Amino acid sequence: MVNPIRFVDIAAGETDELNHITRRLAELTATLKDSSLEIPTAQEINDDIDAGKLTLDKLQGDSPLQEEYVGLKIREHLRSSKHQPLDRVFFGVELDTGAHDAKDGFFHSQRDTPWGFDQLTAAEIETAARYGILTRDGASVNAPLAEPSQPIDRRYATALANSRAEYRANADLYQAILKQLVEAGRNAGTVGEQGTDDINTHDWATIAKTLIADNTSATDLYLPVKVQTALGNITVGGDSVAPSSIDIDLPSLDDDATVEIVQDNLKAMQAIYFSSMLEELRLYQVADKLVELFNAGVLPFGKGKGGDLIFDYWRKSNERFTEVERLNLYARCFGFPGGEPMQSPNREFNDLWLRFVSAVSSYFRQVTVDSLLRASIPAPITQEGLRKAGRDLAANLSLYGYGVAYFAATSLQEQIKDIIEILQTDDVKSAYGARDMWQVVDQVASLELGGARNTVRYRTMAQTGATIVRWLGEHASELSSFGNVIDATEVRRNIKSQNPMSDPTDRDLVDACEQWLAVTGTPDQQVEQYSQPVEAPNATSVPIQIPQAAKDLLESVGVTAGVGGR
Amino acid sequence: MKGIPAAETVKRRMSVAAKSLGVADPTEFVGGLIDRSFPLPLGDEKVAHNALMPGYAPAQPRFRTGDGDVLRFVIEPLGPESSPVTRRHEATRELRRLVRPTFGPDALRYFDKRSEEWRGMSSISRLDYGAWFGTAYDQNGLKSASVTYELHPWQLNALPASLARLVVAATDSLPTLSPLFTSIAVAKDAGNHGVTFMHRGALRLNNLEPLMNRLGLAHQLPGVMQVVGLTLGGRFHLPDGSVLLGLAETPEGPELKLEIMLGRLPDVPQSFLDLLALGLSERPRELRALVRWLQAFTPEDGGSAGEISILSIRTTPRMAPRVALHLRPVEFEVGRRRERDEEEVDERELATA
Repeated sequence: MVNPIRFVDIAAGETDELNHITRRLAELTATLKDSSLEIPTAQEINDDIDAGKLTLDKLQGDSPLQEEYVGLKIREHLRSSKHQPLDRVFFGVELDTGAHDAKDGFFHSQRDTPWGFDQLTAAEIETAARYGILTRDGASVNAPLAEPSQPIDRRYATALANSRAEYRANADLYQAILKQLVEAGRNAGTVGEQGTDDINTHDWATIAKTLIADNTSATDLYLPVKVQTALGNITVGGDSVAPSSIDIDLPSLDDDATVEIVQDNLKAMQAIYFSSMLEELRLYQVADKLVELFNAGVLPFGKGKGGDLIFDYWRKSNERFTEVERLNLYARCFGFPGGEPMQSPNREFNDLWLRFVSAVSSYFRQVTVDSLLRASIPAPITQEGLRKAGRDLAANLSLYGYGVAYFAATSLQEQIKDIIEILQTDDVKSAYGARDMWQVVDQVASLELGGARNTVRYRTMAQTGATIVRWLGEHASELSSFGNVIDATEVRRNIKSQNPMSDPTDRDLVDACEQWLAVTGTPDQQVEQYSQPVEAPNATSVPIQIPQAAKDLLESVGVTAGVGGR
Repeated sequence: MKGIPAAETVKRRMSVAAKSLGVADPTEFVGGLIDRSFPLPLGDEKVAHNALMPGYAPAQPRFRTGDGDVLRFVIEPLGPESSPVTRRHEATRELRRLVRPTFGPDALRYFDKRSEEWRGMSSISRLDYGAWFGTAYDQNGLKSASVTYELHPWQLNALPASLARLVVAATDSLPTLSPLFTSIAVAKDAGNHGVTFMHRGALRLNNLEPLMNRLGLAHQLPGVMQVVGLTLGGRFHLPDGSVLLGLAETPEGPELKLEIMLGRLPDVPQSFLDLLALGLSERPRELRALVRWLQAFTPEDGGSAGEISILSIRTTPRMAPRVALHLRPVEFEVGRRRERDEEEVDERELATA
């Protein structure tokens, strides 16, 4: 049976933007009333539309709040009367391809029978595919929420052109993959009593990228299998598995060279930070100790799942990073002392981290005070201060995320998953009389490794740290442009993600920062002190190769020439 | 002059002092760290805000009798705007960087084992300054390196058992002690791990007797009292906030270190150094070393080398009390530099007018 095809993330993008606008309008209405300011009438708004005043700077209003109100109302109006999408990324693609809108994720061809894959027009397929490419690459349009027009944004325009090039060069492959995904998503959803074939364009574009890198053609004999494998690799990192199961993509060599924050580098750093906290918790040492005890026949189990997993872990040990290699990685990426002493550590990370976490925390506290007093009092930290702190940190992480970081991240997350699986088996838990894996860690560390660590503390640091790094990666373009970095409305309304480590909201970021500061026992006066902006350290956006002769010369006078030429 | 980083002044003075003492130039070993630690000019008030030498750029030369010609100094890494954790990481990294090639992998292993509690992200709450970093140089190069970590009472459990026993003995005998910092020093064939306490309240020197008895150091108490009595003009009663007490494990047994903060005493004799020299008169080699050390930090345009801030006396079961001094070099004084900068500006303005 043929079903209509629904592009679920296109629908979700539109709904998200609509929710933002609705929330902001409600807040503006309340604020305008409280401030005894007039709420612009429908007539005034229509006058603006009739006069063609469709950019924020031309709108009527005595105050910026009123102008913002009119802008948002116009956006709502354009959506309902002219079917103009609110999701700016989608709107940009739609303007470029000339396709019609995709209401609720259904393109025009999928709204009435006959529908299905064969009815999709070339423009619709291209629009959906390019939307997937853009969201996969983290592209966004930098414009205030209330801006009614689709502004020209150089970075987005470049991303749009790149998406066109990628799609058109591989149109056959994209269409062949879509056909497979339609089968995979058959009857995945319903509208009324009608089943739908659901497609996520982000996954589609991610699979296409993998297959393009493998030189797979549209007519490849094993295309269905390859699509299934690639799909499996994406979906394995769902909500239920280890938080470090992140979707990491190799950085594109053709990315805009002016972008100093490479999103993929940050994803790699997220996994490495997560791993470093588990290292502090002695998770890896506990696993190695279990293997050692298992080999010595001390653990009271043999044949069974626990034995299988430990044996498998032992057999693969030569493929994994050694402890020294891991410590070297943490030193290089985050400056944590350890490993081989002679390397170029990331000396700036810790200060930049503290400054960003403190800035977010201070900002949140200010927002809370504003809510209580129902007034805006001058904040100790502004959105620009937040942007600077976030940008400095993200650029630093991006710089140190080049090279081996991505590969190490994938290897470490695999290892963490293996370890967690071992520790969660009943064989292992019962051997130590433990009720969960963390009790096993505590027991083994106490009995065999000279002392347990505070597992709650390091688990919290791992998870909150991963959320913070992920948020930075997801907001790379906002950090490099204008507009608000943190949406105060989202924070006030407590909007949280189901899985903050892969899709954090602004509220998740704030909570993560507060938790991180709480578990590390950072005093309030230090938070206030670090939230104040300081001059950023000198750093290049990419690693600079310094000739050996110059490096020797610099080192002879005590200057370490390493990453970033420092 | 206003824009020149304090690092230039510190490096120049250390190089000059090294040359004067005939030891290796420290800037060859820690020049980069000094650059990173003193990026602001000496005229900048922020430089004065530090835990090691308030009012001065935090680079503190130290002298020990019995060492011969050795240039020893401690710095607070990374400047006033860094966080304590970053400072702790930097000090640790720097020591590990120096120790491995100079003293070998065993020394590094010793340090790693002893510093585990302070190396990672554990115990980072409630830090004030984080850590200090010290090095000592003789004619052959780097003689030793040390890191001093800020210590809280709940971290005493992380100390090695042998040192923890000394700590228990100390706090049992003198309940007025509260832990301040722990120092781990590494040299070619030796390591030294100690804890320093602040003594709350006034201390009569003979109150040290129970503790020294427990440590097997009672026979050294008269020697300690003699040094203190001689140099402080007969004072045996030290006021509140003026005493630090250090304990360390050494191959010779426990080491006790009594540190007296001279700035907290109301009546330090004007002739403090002369009295100290008198005490050293029976050991002319050590006296000459002290004179050379002071000369090494005396500015070329004359005047004094600076202010002695701490008188320290160390002893072990087999080592008679030895004196150590901490200097606040006049050249590193922040206020003085600011006044000089202002004078220079005034002179320039006058000349222009």
